[in-house]
Amino acid sequence: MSIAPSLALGLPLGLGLAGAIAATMMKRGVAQAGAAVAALAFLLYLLAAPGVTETTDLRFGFWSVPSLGVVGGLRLDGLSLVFVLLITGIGALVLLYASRYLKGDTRLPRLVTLLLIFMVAMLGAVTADDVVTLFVFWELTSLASFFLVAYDHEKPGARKAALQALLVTGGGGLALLAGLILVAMAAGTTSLSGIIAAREAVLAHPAAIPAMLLVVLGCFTKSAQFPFQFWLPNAMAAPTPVSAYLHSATMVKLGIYLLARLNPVYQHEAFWQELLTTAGLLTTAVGAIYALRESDLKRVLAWTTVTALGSLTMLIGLAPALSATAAVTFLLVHALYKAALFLVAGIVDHETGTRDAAALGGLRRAMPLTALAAVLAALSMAGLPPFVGFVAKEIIYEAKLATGGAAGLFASIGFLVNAAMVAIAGLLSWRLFFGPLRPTPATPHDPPKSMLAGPILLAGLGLLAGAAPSLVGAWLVDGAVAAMLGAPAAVPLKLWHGFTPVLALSAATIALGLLLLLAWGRLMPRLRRASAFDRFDTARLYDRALAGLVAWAEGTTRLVQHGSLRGYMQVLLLVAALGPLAVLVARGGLDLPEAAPLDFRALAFLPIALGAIAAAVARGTLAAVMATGLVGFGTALVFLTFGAPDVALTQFTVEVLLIVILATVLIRLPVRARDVRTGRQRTVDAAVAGALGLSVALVLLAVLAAPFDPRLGEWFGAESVPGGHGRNVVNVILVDFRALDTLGEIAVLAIAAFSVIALLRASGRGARVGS
Amino acid sequence: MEIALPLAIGVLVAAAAYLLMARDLPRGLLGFVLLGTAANLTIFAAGRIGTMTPPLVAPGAQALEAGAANPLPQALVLTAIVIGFGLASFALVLLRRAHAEFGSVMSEDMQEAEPPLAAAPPAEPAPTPPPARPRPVPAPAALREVV
Amino acid sequence: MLNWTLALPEIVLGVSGLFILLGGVIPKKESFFPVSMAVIGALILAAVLVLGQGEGTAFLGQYVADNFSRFAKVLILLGAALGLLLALDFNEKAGLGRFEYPVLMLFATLGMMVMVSANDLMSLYIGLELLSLSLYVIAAFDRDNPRSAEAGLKYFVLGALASGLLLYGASLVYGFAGTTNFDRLADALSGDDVGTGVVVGLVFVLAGLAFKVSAVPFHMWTPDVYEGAPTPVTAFFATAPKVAAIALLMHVLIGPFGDLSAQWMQVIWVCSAGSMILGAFAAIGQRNIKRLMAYSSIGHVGYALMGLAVANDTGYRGVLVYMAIYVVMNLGTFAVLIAMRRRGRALEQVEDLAGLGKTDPAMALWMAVFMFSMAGIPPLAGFFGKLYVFLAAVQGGFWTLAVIGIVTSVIASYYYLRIVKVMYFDAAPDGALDARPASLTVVMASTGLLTLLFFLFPAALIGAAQVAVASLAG
Repeated sequence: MSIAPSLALGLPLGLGLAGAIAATMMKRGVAQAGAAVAALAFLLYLLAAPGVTETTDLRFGFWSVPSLGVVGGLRLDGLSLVFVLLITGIGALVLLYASRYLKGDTRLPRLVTLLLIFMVAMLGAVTADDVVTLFVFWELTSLASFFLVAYDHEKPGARKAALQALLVTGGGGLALLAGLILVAMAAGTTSLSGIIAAREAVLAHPAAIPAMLLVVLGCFTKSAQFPFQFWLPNAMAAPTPVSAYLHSATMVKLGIYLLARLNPVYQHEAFWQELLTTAGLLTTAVGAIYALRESDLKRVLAWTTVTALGSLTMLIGLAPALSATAAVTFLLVHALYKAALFLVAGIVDHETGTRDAAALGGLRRAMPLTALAAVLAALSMAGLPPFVGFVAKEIIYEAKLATGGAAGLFASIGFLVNAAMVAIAGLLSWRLFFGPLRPTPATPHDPPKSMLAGPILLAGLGLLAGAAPSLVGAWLVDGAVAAMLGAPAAVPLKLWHGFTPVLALSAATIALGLLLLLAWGRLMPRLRRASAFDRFDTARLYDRALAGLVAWAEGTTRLVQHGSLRGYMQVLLLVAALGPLAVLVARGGLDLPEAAPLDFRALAFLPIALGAIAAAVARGTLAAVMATGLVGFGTALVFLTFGAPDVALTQFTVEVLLIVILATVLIRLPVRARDVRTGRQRTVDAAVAGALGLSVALVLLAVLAAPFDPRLGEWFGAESVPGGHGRNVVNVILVDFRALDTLGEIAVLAIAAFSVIALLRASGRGARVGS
Repeated sequence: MEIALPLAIGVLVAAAAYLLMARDLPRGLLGFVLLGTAANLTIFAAGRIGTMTPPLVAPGAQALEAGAANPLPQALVLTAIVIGFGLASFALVLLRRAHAEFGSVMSEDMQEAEPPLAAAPPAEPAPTPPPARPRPVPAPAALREVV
Repeated sequence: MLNWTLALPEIVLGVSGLFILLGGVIPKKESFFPVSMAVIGALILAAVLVLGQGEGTAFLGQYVADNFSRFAKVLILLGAALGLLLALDFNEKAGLGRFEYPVLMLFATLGMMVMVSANDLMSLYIGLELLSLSLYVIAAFDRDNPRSAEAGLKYFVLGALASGLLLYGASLVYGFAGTTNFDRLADALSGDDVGTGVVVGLVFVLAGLAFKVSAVPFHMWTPDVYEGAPTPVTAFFATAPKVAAIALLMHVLIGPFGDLSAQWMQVIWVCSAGSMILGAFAAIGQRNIKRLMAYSSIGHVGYALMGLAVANDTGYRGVLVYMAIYVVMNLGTFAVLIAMRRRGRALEQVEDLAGLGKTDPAMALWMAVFMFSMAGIPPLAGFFGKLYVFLAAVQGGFWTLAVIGIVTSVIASYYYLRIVKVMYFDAAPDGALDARPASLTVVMASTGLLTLLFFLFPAALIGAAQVAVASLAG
């Protein structure tokens, strides 16, 4: 049976949103209701699953902006199906778990709302068939994570971790946006399936490599690949259900998802393969080493998650069908056992009051069911038959050995990392639950069913899937592998491969892992003290970069924005002086106007120049005012000399008025009359002023050297009498042809007068400071 | 004339700029007035000068005779003069108000808007940025807690 | 020939301004509230008239009305009306309830409309002065606060210099082309060699306008003035005049100087990159929110200018979309900032927002929406604003600019998100906020909903911007 794509693809999102809104209003049973919503969504996807095979998918398009060539829609194919089932299934269990874990916490409705919003964002991101929708949901998951990590916001550590995670993943998200835009432009479409179809065009684009790097950067930050791995362990400040859901099973795999999604485009590019395998390998190593340095259960789990994410990245980079099958299988396996282990860690923390692995032991008797879940999950993690973890580990080893030249390197690093994982798995099951009981702050006992359901179900699924790997392969893995490679190619999954070199490698791994486990009590503190590893801790780089950025930004801002009017003025004037000079130089010098012989009229310019110099160097303010007046009268004289009597008259009148007002007001201000600049300041100012004067004069000369189009003036001269009925052309222009300007000019004057009144009224009662 | 007027305007602008950079606001105001005058003269010059004949249509004639001054810049200058006057009067009142508030007309005395954590803004920044003084900048408490 | 009916919105606004002025002067009592209401009414009336306005040029080509001016004017009138709404309660409480305030805002708006419709360098200058004068006064409007006087003075001195530069540049252009009319200038400047004077003139005109949009390197006044001026004034400064100046910048560059795009693209490129960088870095250390918003606005102008630097229709459309979204986000943010009062004291520090998530969840939610939107986080409106200009830049091959834009967005998101962090995760100080007037709630909720739900109906705005650009470039 199958259901309509709109129901399968649209309804879960709608349900999730409605649930998120409803959760804000509910008082009781809110987490259970949230779990029901997630379970319902899980069911819908399950119903849709038969319609999704290696060659078929479901589509549901709902928006488009044709002018930008943006088409948005949802699409469910094999790869998406794996993710949506994990997201909704684990989501339902985690919400159920939270109903008990955070019982009585008044913030529970908020947590449920955020978890459901996050779920919707994840579902949207993995079913989006266009880069814009994908990006929108992608960033929404970062935001939801920000609020969820900062759930205990009274703790400074939680706030810092939340911001760190957001800055790293959100920043990477923007790089991703840039990359996706480039890719979409190269492909000519924003549709993801369209981009994959236009593979050649994407690779042939001149910016193909930067685009790929930007996309990969976004994926690496999201999926905590080296050197961005540091945010993930810190994000463990979130409540345990959140860590189990976001930071192991789903959100951190979003980057992996996109890498897998775009793999058909880049899979044959050597650079892509090298980038992913190198980063992945480094990440597994870093994760394994750091996991052995921790004793806080959640941080141990976080580092093993980093290792797992590294493996997934590496497997995507290892191109062939075998490694793609391995990647999808491991993705499923890891989600199952890691979520279970996180939930177990939460139970232990909840019941005993501590999550320090070194202080715990022998809990088996007190909490037998928890111990069962832990052991089942740990066996899968350690990769022991008949668990599905074994299936995954076998096929990963196979994929590594099949890489040809570098097989030795891959296999040996993989061997060591896997041994570390075996040790950690032992730590989380054997050491915690067996051996002598150690005293804990609280008296431990098994939690209620709602908290146990999740871990037991998830761990049990690991066993079931291991028993029937071919079914899992047919239902889930094959379709996802087809999407990753662009064609059906999955390798059949088997529990038993016979006695092969791979099996021997597996056995050796387990043996070394057990040795490590025995030595853990002594190894862990030593590793922790070994400062050599701290040097590779990129979190320090991040801290230093952020602190440095803040300090640098503040320092520079203070330098640039010093608040001194004089300083601003100097900068502005200098720019105004040097800009035109630069243009003059760039355009190859200066044409001088044809010099008409100077006659007596040039004398008219003398008062301007003399007055200006006098105003600049005048000792007293009043003298400077008088010199300014001289400039004004000189200007009137120029107007009069060169055929502008009306202007001259206006200039003269205005100048008299202005000088009278200026003198009246300035005399009343009890101010220091002298120019208080120091000698050096004067020199600097004079240089700036001189440059500006020179620049203005040269540019004006250049303008006057060019021929002038006199037609407009002539037109006014010709139209003045017939059109404006006036013989004074200037007057006609003012009151007729350019009446709008004159109206505006009057308005400016009126507003100036009004402003003067408003200001005087304002300072009337306000003049209490000073005077 | 085409050379003498630009030179005069250049001197005028230089004087205006020199006054604008002064540390007291009354001088700045005068600089502003001079700058306005310079702008008016530039408009006038840009319409080309040379003739002494005003743009008046002779009685009986229908159009302006050739050789009269260009009327358009004159109209523009008239507008600009009036606006400049309005602005100057307004500036004067603003200056008076500032004096009432601060009891000073020194532009340096008006830096209340500066962030208080600035230890000492460079009192006299030269037009070129001064050599960076290595000074440990304490991150604000709010930030230190976050980062 | 005169076609004066095209200018009906401006005429109606001017005349109602005069009547409202009379109505404010005559009564003995302070008439701030009724005058404000009348001004808001006049602004709305003008907006209606603008929407019903025809197209064409008037006053012998000095004035133009088209789809572009309509888009800008509606945005300006909306910004001004909401900006005045923000001031109603604040001004009464802060002792700024004088009738000159709304009247000055009306005249400023009139100036902006003249700027947008100006089709002549001189009309442009006059519109600019009309706006500037009113802004100088309202920046210095708070008589009890010396910082306000300082703000007014600094703004005036630097603004007057910028106007002077613009006038000087305009006269250089006139000196080459012999005309100040945009259409004739476009003809005169279409040749290959346009002469040094025109290039320098263009640069100076650009400088004058860059000052008004507070783009780097003409931004210096912004932080001091934003911080010193009363908060509703800052809100007004950050919205309507920016739209007017950007619209004017587009009109001038695409119209008369359209053939010089090779020259001005470089200048706008530098201004855009500089503004984005300064806006991102300088805001990091700020603790006064108004000062922070000043740097934020510088950054946003940088993003808008990115669309202009691309110099094609997609880019221009991006600018208009960006400015529209920017105005809405900013009005909302300032509505929240104005509502931040405790025991009658206006709060201006970032720390003052601490615990808002608990003390006033609704307001905190809106503020979070605005901050996320400004940071460019999808699916909020701010993301689409950035998306359209980034797309235009990438399509136009402006890689470097797009990369600077993305990097600075990441850096800027740091301080926006810090505000959200403070609101939700820091401990609240004692004492609840003062009761919030309904006017602020209206502004907050309406702008908040627009920001939140923009992604559902982007076509309306984008279509309008498309039409506006078509009439500008066509």
